[in-house]
Amino acid sequence: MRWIYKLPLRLRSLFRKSRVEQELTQELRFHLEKLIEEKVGKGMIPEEARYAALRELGGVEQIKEECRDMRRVNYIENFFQDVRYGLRMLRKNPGFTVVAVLTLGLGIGANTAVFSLVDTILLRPLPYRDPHQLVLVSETLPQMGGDTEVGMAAGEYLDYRDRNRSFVQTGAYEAAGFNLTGEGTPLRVNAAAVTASAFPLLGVPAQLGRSFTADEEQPGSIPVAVLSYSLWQRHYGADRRILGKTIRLDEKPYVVVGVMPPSFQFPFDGAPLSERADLWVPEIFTPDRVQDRVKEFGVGFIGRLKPRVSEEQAQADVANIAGGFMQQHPESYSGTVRVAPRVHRFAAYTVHKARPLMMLLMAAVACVLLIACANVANLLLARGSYRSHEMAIRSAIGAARRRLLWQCLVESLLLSLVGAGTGFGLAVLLVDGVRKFGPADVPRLQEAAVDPSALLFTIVLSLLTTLLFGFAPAWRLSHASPRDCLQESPRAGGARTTQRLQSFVAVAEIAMALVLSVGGGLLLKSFVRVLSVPLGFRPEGTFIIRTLFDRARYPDPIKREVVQKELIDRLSHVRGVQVVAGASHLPLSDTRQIGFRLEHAAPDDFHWAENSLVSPGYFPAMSISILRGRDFTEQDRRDMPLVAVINETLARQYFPGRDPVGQRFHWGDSDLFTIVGIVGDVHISALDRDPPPMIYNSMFQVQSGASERTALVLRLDPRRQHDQNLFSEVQQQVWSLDRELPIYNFTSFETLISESVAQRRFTTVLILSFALIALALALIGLFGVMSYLVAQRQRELAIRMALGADRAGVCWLVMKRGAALAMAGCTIGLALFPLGGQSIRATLYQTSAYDPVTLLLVAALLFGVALLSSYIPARRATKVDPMVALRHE
Amino acid sequence: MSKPTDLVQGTLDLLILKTLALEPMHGWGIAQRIRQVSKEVLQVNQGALYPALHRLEQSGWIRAKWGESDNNRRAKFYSLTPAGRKYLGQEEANWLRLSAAIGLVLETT
Repeated sequence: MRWIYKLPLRLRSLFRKSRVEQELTQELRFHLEKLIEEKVGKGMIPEEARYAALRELGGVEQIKEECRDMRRVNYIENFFQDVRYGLRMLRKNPGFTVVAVLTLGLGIGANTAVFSLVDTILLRPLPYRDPHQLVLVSETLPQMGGDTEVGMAAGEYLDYRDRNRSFVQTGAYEAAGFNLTGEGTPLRVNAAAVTASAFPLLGVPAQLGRSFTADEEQPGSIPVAVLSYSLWQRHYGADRRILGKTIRLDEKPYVVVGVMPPSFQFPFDGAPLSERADLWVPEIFTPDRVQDRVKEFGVGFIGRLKPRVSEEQAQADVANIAGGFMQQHPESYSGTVRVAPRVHRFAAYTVHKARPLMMLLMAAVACVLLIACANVANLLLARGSYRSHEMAIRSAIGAARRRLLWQCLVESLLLSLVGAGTGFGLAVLLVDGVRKFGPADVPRLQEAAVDPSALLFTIVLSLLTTLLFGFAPAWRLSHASPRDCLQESPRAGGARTTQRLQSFVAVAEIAMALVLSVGGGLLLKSFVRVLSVPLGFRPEGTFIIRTLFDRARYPDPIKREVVQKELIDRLSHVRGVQVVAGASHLPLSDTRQIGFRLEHAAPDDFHWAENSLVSPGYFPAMSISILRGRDFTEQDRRDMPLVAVINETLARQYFPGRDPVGQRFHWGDSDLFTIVGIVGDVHISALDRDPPPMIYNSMFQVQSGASERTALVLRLDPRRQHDQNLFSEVQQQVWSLDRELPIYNFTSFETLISESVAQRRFTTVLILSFALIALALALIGLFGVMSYLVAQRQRELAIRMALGADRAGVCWLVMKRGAALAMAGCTIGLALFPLGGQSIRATLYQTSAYDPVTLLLVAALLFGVALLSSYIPARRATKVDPMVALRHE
Repeated sequence: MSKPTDLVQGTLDLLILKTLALEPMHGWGIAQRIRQVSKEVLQVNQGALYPALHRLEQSGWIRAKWGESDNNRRAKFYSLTPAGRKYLGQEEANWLRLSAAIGLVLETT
């Protein structure tokens, strides 16, 4: 029960300190007066009595101090006092404080940001139930050339579904797209067709309504659709009456039966936000789809493994099934058309592209963190030595050892806290920046947020470093006698160990900075190489729009062609447009592959080639050079012989030594095409991949699954290139022909190129930034070491100068040490680099990981800058007047 | 003046608490009372008295109140808390037991 009395006292002592002090003074004064009274009563004169009383009372201040000690709020009071003192000390040495805080902040911030990114992108589990059991199965056709992974045919899916022994459940899905019309502006919606088993397999129930039933998979049932949460919110205002409502997709009515929860996403690939499936419809396998096994390979397979089945067992199982159905249908699978299925863990597959990037980032940022901690350690060590003098004096006056140590601890803590605060702010900024400017095709990048556990980890690490290196010198000093420290400028063995430690740390920092810088240099070289790859066409001054002539409103190809031709004609009359061309697939933005067979080759000898349906005049419009033969013309109509134009690579690979013009090939089962021209290569999928063999057809002669898509490329006059009004004029022209045509994705080739290298650019910029930070930190570290060195050797240098050594000589003496440290660091760094070189190799393009020019250039640069950073303290040393230095004891 | 016997801290606490058991008193009064009752043997050192009083207050055995002294001057009066009263009883018993034991030892040897 005593706390009833204790608590108010404590609080009072804390918050009403002046009052309490006053009372103590009054209390003692009362006692003194009483004592004087007594003495006067005994016969002394007041003056004498006063002196006698004071003498008897003893040291009033000491009594007061003891009473204060009894108050036992001392700990808290002392703590605040230490905090105030610590802050004052930090303010007095702005250089040290700013550098230490920045260093810590950089290390913590960068590390937290990268860990957060890695955690979100690589480590966070997928938004499905037990995602580690999910696998995807894709197929390759190894004999058709290339390593392309495709989906499967409908019939193949059914075989896998019915004959497997590894999966608890399977599902199929296919990408789709619809024009959502009927309400407001026509909207292009990305969608996926999924089997009824898919959503239960994923284990995610609908937020509203339900997902599909098995009946809805049957051909001829009423079409139904499930919406994504964001589409429901965006387009339908989150109206709960959406269930049962009918929507028009490609002019067909669909009944909405469900809405999925917000975080749900399927298929889960690196598609950016704008391309994610917003709508799901049932996957319907009509009999002819099942029958035809080789025409279309668009079906994706997802399966949930049985509890104790491994990936390898599943792989063997599906390979077996494939072998089985290939034997059963020899008419479909022969020659080069043989499938090899591949099983991928869902999680790994979706992020496998981002993994090397993430690993690289983590390595880089670990380097930065180490350097940052090392720097802070160095700074603290140096400061510890400077403060030994001050600590010795305070110890001599009477400060308790515990109190001194505690104060050092508090100072270190303060530093860590401020550094941590800076780091947190920086981490938030960095993650935000990455979200805004990062490459669009890294899955889940948009969901990245600062990860609390990463933050905690880095803060704890920096706390430990600060405490260890701030505390250790204090600990050592508190054991030494004050007399040793007070005697002369710190020179004992402690200083030498400190120096050695500091030098070691500085060398390590330089080595790591070198490793990062070389990495950055190599990446930069790669990036420049990629950008200077000859494109095969001219991207400047182009304007691209896409539209879709959906089968519902344009069922007749002839009518569609008329509209397409008219559209191209009208657009070419827009002011400032030099020429207009149409294509179904554009380089660096779409890919579509077809299988073809040379005329006299075996009936099953198919090969892959890229394909695009283009308008006559496409090649000149894109400035793609026609090497032999001719372009498509008006004469290439439906009723005329089928023609095609191929690219250099296809000519080289399949017609070596012969003239391909005039040769023929099959596309599909029967159609025989004559090659009439050869054009230059164009990069299709990415700049850093070789141009694939490609076949062009005239969009007005050939009808394929891709005929609906039309991209229109407008080459512009320089005057019109950045005109804002251009889009509305183009829009008007399109809508003057047909009001319901959706126009989407307007862009330019320059933008497309930039997007295609976005990830590479991102990596390069990041690594270079880290390299710069590491470099800056290493230089600061070196600078600190050299300054400390100069301070230690002040006396010796002063004596040298007094004895006649010239300034340059002294300067050189100091710089020799700096040069030695820099040299050691560079050498170690160069030796270490090969270890890290492996991880960077995957990202490089046409640049060797051991490129000597880059290595030497960067090393020389680093060495030079390091030399400069040691020059400044050296010069400062020579500026000091010898007399002043010698007298300063 | 005879040399005041130095009092061990615990003993001083006991004396103070006992003195306050009778009536609330200020520091000066406590010192006077102890001197008087012990027939001038125990002279409490002021340097020890006030720290002891403050310690006892902080521990919750006694509490303080400002009041008027006999000549109308403000003084800080201490009094026992209930817990303090109980504590006094315990310490008194301990002390008597201890001194009896010491007495026994001194008698026999």
